[in-house]
This record gives sequence, C-alpha cells and structure tokens, in this order.
Amino acid sequence: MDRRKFLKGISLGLLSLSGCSRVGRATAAGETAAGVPPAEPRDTFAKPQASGKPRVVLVTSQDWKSSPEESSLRRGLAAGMEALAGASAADAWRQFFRPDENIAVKVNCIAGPSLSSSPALVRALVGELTAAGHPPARIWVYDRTSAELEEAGFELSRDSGGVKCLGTDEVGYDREVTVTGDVGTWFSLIISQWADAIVNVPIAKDHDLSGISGALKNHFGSISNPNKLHYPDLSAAIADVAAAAPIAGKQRLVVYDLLRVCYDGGPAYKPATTKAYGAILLSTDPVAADTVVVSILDELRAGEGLPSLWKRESNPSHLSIAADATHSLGCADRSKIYVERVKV
Amino acid sequence: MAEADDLPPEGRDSEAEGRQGPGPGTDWQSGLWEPAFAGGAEAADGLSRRHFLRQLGLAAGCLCGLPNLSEKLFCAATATPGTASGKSPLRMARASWWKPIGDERVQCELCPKECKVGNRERGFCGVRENRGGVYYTLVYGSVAAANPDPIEKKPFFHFLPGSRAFSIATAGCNMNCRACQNWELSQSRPEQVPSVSLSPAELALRARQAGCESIAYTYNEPVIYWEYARDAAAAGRKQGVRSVVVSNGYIKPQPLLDALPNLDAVKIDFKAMSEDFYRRYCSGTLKPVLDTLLLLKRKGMWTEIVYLVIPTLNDSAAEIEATCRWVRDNLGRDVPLHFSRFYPQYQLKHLPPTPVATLERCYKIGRQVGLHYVYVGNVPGSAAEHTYCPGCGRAVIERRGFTVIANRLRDGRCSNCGKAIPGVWK
Repeated sequence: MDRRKFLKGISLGLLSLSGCSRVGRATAAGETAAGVPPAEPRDTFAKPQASGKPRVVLVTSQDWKSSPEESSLRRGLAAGMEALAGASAADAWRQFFRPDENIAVKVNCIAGPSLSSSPALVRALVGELTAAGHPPARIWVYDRTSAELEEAGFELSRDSGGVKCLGTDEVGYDREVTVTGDVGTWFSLIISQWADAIVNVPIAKDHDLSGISGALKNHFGSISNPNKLHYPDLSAAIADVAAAAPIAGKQRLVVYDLLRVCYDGGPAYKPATTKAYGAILLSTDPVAADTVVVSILDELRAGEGLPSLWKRESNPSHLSIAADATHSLGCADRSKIYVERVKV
Repeated sequence: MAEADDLPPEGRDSEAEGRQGPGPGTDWQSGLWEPAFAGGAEAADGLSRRHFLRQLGLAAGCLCGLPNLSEKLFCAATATPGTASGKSPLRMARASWWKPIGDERVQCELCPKECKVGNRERGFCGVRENRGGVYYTLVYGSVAAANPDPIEKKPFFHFLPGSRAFSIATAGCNMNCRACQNWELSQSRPEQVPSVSLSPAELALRARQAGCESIAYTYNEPVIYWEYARDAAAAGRKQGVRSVVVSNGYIKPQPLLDALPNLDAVKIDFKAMSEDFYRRYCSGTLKPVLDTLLLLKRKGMWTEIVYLVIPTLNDSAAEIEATCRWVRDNLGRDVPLHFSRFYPQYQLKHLPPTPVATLERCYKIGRQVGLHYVYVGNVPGSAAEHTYCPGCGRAVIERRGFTVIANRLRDGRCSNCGKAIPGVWK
C-alpha cells in the first residue's frame, strides 16, 4: 500500500469516527435531523465564486474596538455572509460548505496573544457554522503548533466528536513533497488529508519582507518549511504556496480578523503600532482581501506620517504575482474591487 | 550536506547498499539514548495526546512520514509517552554567532545568508530562533540520526581508510538543494523529527564505545548546528576521537575558524562553478563556498570535495573543467575531487540518474587538467574508486563501494615507488 492510499485510509477512518460521534451529539442537541447526509460526488459541489466585480464585505462595529464579544461577532459574521452570498446567513453558510465536508479553519498565532486571530471571532465563526447545521466534528481549528494556539488564547480540543482545536505539530505533515512554481514543501496533514474546505482567518500585519502578512501569507503556517521560503524570493513563494492544490483547491472563504491591526514594525507584535480597528472582512478572493487590507493599513500609516506600504522596498508585490495568469488567485487591482460596507 | 553518498541509517538505499545500523542487543538501546521528550500530559477531557492520535489514526500518518530514523536507535523514544506524533520538544541554547540589530531583532552571523530575524521568528535554517531579542539554537545536542558509517561513505578517501565514523545529524539546513537526498532531515524543523538529547561528551563517548575513530557531522548541514559540532569536536579530542565535517561550506569565516582547531578533515559538497546554479537550485551563493575552500587551504585542513553531477544542470564539460581548473589553481593538484552520481530525488525526480559515461568524462577532464586524485562516486565497482599513485600509477588503495579491498600504503607512501600520498593516514 503506498503512502497516499494509506493516508487516505486514515482519513476515511477519521471521517467514520467523527461521523458516528456527531450523529449522536447532533441528534441529541436537535441541531440536525438525520446526521451525516449520504456522500455526494465531490465534483458536483459548486465552489462559491465572486461573480462579476471582485468584492469584499467589510463589517464594522463600534463595540469591537474595545472588547468584542462572541455574540456581537456572530451577528457581524451573519451580516457579512448575507451580504457576501445574497442569502440568509444560514443559507449562506450552507452554500459555502456541505455538511459532509471537513472544514479546516486556519488561524494565525505566531505573534502571540496580542496579535493573533481572535479566539472570540473563531468561536463566533464555529458557532455560525454549527448553527447552520455543520457537524462540530467536521470543524478543525489549526495553526502550526498547539502551544501557539494555546498561548494565543485558544482552548485546545481533542474531542473527536466535537470541534477540534489542535496544531499541525500534533499530527504532522504530509511527507509527499508538493512542488508549485519554485516552492517545494510539505503541507499540514490537516489540510492535505483531512480537510475538504478551508476557512482562512488571517490577521493584518505589516511585514518587513513582504509588506503585509495577511490572507495569502497566512498559509505559511500550513507548511513545514516557511523559513526556507523567505529567501531568495518571498513574494513569489507566497503566491506559489497559496496556489498549491491543498490550499487553492480547498480555500472557500477568507474571514479577515481586523479587530486589531499592526500597521508598522511587523510581523512581530509592536504595541505602539498595533491598533484596535474593530472590523472583520469577508471574501472568497484572498488577493482582493489582502489588497483592500493593504489600503486599510496605508490609511493608518498615512495618519501616522508613514509612507505607503507600496513605497517601501518590502512592498506587497506578492499580490500582483498571485493575481497573474500563472497563479490566478484573485484580483490585486484595488480599483476593480467592490467593497461592501456593513455596520452592525 | 546531503547530496552525495551520505545517507542516514534509514535512508532509501541503505538496504541496497548493505549499510548497517546498530543491531539489536547493542548498548545503543541502553539509557544513554534516552530521549528528553516532554509530554504525557493529559488533556482537559482526560484524553492523552497519544490516546487521541491513536484514536484518530493520524499517528500512523506521522510514523510513515519519518523514514529517516532508525527504529533500533530510537526504540526508547518511540516507547515514551507523549511521542505518538514522533516529534520532539525544542531544546533551546543560546547561539554563539549573532548580533542584536535593534527593536528586538537579531542578525545571524553564522552563515552568509546573515538572516535578520524578528522576535519569535526563525532564520532560513529553521533551527535558530529569536526569543525576545536573543538568538537561540534549537538543535544543540538534538541528535536526529546517528550511525557508525565507513568513512568512505562520507566520502573521505584520504582520511583513515577503512575506519568508521560515528555519523550524526540534526534537523535543518542553510540551503535548500533540489537534489538533496536527505531532505526529510535537512528540510525539516527540529520539532518535526524525533531526536535524542546527547551532550558533546556523551557523543564522544558513544563514538569511542562504538569503535569509531571519528565523529562525522553529516547527513544534514553541520553548519546549522555548529555550536554543537564545535563543542563535540573538542570533547572528542579529549577522548581521542577525531572529528570530520561534511558540509556545503556555506559558513562565515569566524565560526569556521572558531571550530577548526578541533576538526581533522572537511569534505565540501561543491554544487557547481556557477552563481546561477547556487541561486536557482540550492538557495545559496557560490562565492562564500569558494572562500571557505580557500580558508581551509590556508589553515592546512585536510579537505576533499564532492561534486554531484546532475544531468543537464551542472554536467557540461565546460563547467566540469572550470571546477577542476579552479581546484588545481587555488587548492592544488592533491585535493581529492569526487564526481558523484545523481539519483532522482526530492524536487528533481523528473531527471534521470547520471549516466556512467558522463561521470567517466568528468573523471577524464579532472585527470587531463592535472588533478592527482579524481574519483567517481555512487558507481560501485568503478575503477575510478581506487587511489592511484601519481608517481608510478599503481593502485595504492582499492575500493568497492564503501569497502577498502586493498591498502598498499606504507606510512603514507606508495609501497611500490615510495611517493608520498597526501592525506591523514594514521
């Protein structure tokens, strides 16, 4: 048996385990009617695509600038999804994710508790998904390591019948090298073998090499060797990683955490240049999402008398690479991106 | 470095080559190899990590992803609670070659990449991390592979022929060679591969107990665990065990000078006489490697060179001749130059193995340029594995693969004509 088949077997075993647990739990809770729906061919699923003009939904709330609460964030997510999908929130979630799909939620915790994806936002996201009928056992919140998740305030969970929250270090990396462009890497088993869909929950950080560390670069936390890719061409590497099949083929949604943003001095946490922004941004287009966030950071930078990120040597050139014909990951032309603003 | 012959004990061709790992019943399974794994803590729901992973079956996925590691060597480790995923805790030790550059950032001064690293970030090698403005090595004493190998496997052909080298590695590398044969070690971070904790003195003791005349820092790139190699070489010196380094030569002068007094030989994996090749296929640069070779020459360090010949990428006659001429003109005719056969791996699986005819052509070029000791590697049975006396032409050391078949040296001289053959012979 080759490794791929072996891992596929593992994955199926996991599905079976989690599915059984979920049926009992979901039925008892009255959240779903009949547990796991019959499997459907994967290729019949229509991946949501932004039609027409590339768009992002920027959801803001004054409440979020102080201490955003989960309930409030859920309302914001629901409103954002309604705007993004043009349907009720529950229907919107179901348009994006079929109940028999495993969803990996990629957060970003490397900079520590003061500049990580918000646990409250992720709890709100999971709450929305499960309220829309998605089985908890088919949701896995992950980053590179469990220690980093825990340090950032996430409660680790190994509950095979519920939502899992664990780092890749607990399960390892796919040992088949994936080569995309000039990048060769191993992907987290969570996304290469377990997940059918990915929700990307980046934060907005200035980055001293790539201009911004956002949605595209967040997946450096989904691979084994991010350190190898900062040289010689980080911009191309960011686009190459994001274009690799385990990510580009599975990522359905970006839920940008803009509750706090770091507009200068990143990617490490810098108190002086980290600001409460009180927003979340939703999009199916990670390049458009990053492009809009660069504009947001630039506004904050201008307010502090700092030059635009585009005028720095370390500018976000990876956005145009990601948008080129080779990568086709989205739109990097700010003038072509429609930003729908929602207040809650 | 990991391109030529030097595979760790569980490497892909180890069985085919008949290489031996430590056998059952040896003292390798004793407490000295006890790992320093953390873990075993119960999760809040009472489910241990090990139990959890077993339940999900994902632990098996990790097991199949760790082919480099000797089951025998790490039997104790795999039996330790909390190691179901096969990972290791990080062991942090303050690094020796770096400087602060402000704002909690540091600049590494170990290798020519000179990584500028922010707080909580790592350098290119993946084994050095900035924590609050202090740079740490994460692989000091974290041995991820170990095996007593024939010295010819490194390959050293002019250094204690027929002896064994206690060969060790950690995770990580400061290059990313597309043809790396030990990429599962070299391209991993330390927490991604199992390891055992071994002090420099313990390592030297282990080497001596295993009957090895030397410690070889090899498989991955020793530059990235240079503090450990430096200290282990010093510990080995005290215990009568020599130290040899198998490296890409991508190191700054000062760290090299700091370790040289306790080193006995260096083998440099020379990639190509081309900056473009180094950049495109190795994530490195050529000039610092040439500088390292020159420094080794100036310091009188016994040095051998391996050139992995990769079809279509670095195998043109012009490139081979340029390499041979540079070696002759800058290092001398007596520096052994091994042309090694490439087998498809890692990111170059689409290329064929090097034709033997290509290697024979390289050999001829080297000899025509005037190098005295040119070899062909990874072609067992080739006549170009032997050492020939430049004086009388007789084969003074005959080899097949990693085995010395005949040694006709007498006190470092050809037993036929008496010519001195350069090397470290005793």
